[in-house]
Amino acid sequence: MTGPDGTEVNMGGTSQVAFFARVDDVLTWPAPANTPEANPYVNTTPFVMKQGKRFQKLYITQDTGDLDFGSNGEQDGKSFKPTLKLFYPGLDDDALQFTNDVKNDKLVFLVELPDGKMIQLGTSRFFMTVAPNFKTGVTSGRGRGTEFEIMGFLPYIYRYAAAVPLTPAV
Amino acid sequence: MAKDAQSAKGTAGPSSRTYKINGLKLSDIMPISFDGRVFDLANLSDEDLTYLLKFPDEVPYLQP
Repeated sequence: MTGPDGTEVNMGGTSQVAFFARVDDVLTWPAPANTPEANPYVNTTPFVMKQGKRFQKLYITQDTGDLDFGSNGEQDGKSFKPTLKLFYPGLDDDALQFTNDVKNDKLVFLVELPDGKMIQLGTSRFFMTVAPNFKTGVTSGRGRGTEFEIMGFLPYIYRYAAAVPLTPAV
Repeated sequence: MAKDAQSAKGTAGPSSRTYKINGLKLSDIMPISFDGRVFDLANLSDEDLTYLLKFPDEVPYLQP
């Protein structure tokens, strides 16, 4: 770990797009490359979805995407408690359905960072949950929309380096 | 919520496609996201096809 060489993109925040899927729609989970030199925390084989299922896109209002991998636990018991916060504007019918359907569901998220790299939130054994908070705000405020807080517990930070299937599986 | 963007448009429609697509439901537009871009597997340009074929593990849907 020698520090930046001037070519990295370390811009804060997230990109304006994240991807999500229901845990129950996943057939097989991604894995790192099966070679001795592979980084065990970089998944290079993609999610395989159940028939007819796919990942969905989630728009994020600019400068509201915030991913925090908080440290969790005490000495000899450390893990991570990731929290993804974002704002989705308005309350169109898709947002209404998503907000209602997701509140008690188990999901996996792929969070795209500004340089295009993706962080995987959720595994086959540790799921993410979503706390939606729809607000109108006041008239002079930012406008109505939903603040989403996606959270869970993970033993590791995983990067996802494979394709995101936005097309349904056969 | 899901307004998918397309990658650089190619000319490979179903009848003229020079590659096969596995594992995904065939349709006129077949998006995937990879390496910071959205690709339309149903209509890949030669350049995009060549690029994605370099990653058979990460993008296992294509067969030349």
